[in-house]
Amino acid sequence: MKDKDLDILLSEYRKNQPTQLQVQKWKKAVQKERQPKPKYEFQWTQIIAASVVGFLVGAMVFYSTKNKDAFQNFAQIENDNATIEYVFTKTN
Amino acid sequence: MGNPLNWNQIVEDFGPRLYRYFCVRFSPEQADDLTQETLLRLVRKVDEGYFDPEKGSLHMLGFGIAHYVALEAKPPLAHESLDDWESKATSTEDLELTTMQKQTASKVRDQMTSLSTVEQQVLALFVDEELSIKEASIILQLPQGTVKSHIHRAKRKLISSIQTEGLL
Repeated sequence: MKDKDLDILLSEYRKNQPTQLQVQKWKKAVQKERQPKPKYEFQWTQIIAASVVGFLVGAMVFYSTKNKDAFQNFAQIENDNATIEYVFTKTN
Repeated sequence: MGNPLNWNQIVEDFGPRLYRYFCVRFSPEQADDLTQETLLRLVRKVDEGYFDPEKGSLHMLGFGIAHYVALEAKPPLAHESLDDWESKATSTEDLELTTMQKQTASKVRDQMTSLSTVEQQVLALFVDEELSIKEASIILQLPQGTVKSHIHRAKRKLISSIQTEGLL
């Protein structure tokens, strides 16, 4: 827009120039921004495989436990202040 | 991705325009950071397909982003003294200002902070000589008449303050 008064008033601001170093810095930042980023797609196969492995490991741990009622026994202990040693002694 | 724009050229042409825009209301250091932020957001917007040449130029989109970047930025600091600015002047032309011009420029800077935020925003846009009133009104999302009123009011305030000091 051409305006004589504005030209005078804003003349000082119009002289502001970035240095070549600043322009180079902006260029590098823009180049970096435009580099393709690795995409992390949702992999159903990975989710299913991880679930199957988790289930198998859980089953192995569960069936290898000698005292299968340990969790039941633990639930029956009503003493809220029971220490871990007390619980361990009671359940084994 | 994959837009055919020459970003190096865009940064070279448009970067200094953005820098001048931010220099009106922010310190040179802040203007540098805000210019970079605006350019990065512009890249993202274009890559996401927000740029439509039929709706407006890339520069208009850039100034629109710059407007919001300026709004989000911390409140501008009080302007530095003219001596500080002179030490940052890069061209010899800057250093050859007459005493009267220096005083006028200094007064304009002082008075700029006394203008309302909208008036500052409008004037900051018109530091860029290539922008029209229509483009500024789209960027600021204001009617053209309102933009003209703000320019007129800001000009009147600045000129009267300079005239009372006998500088113009």
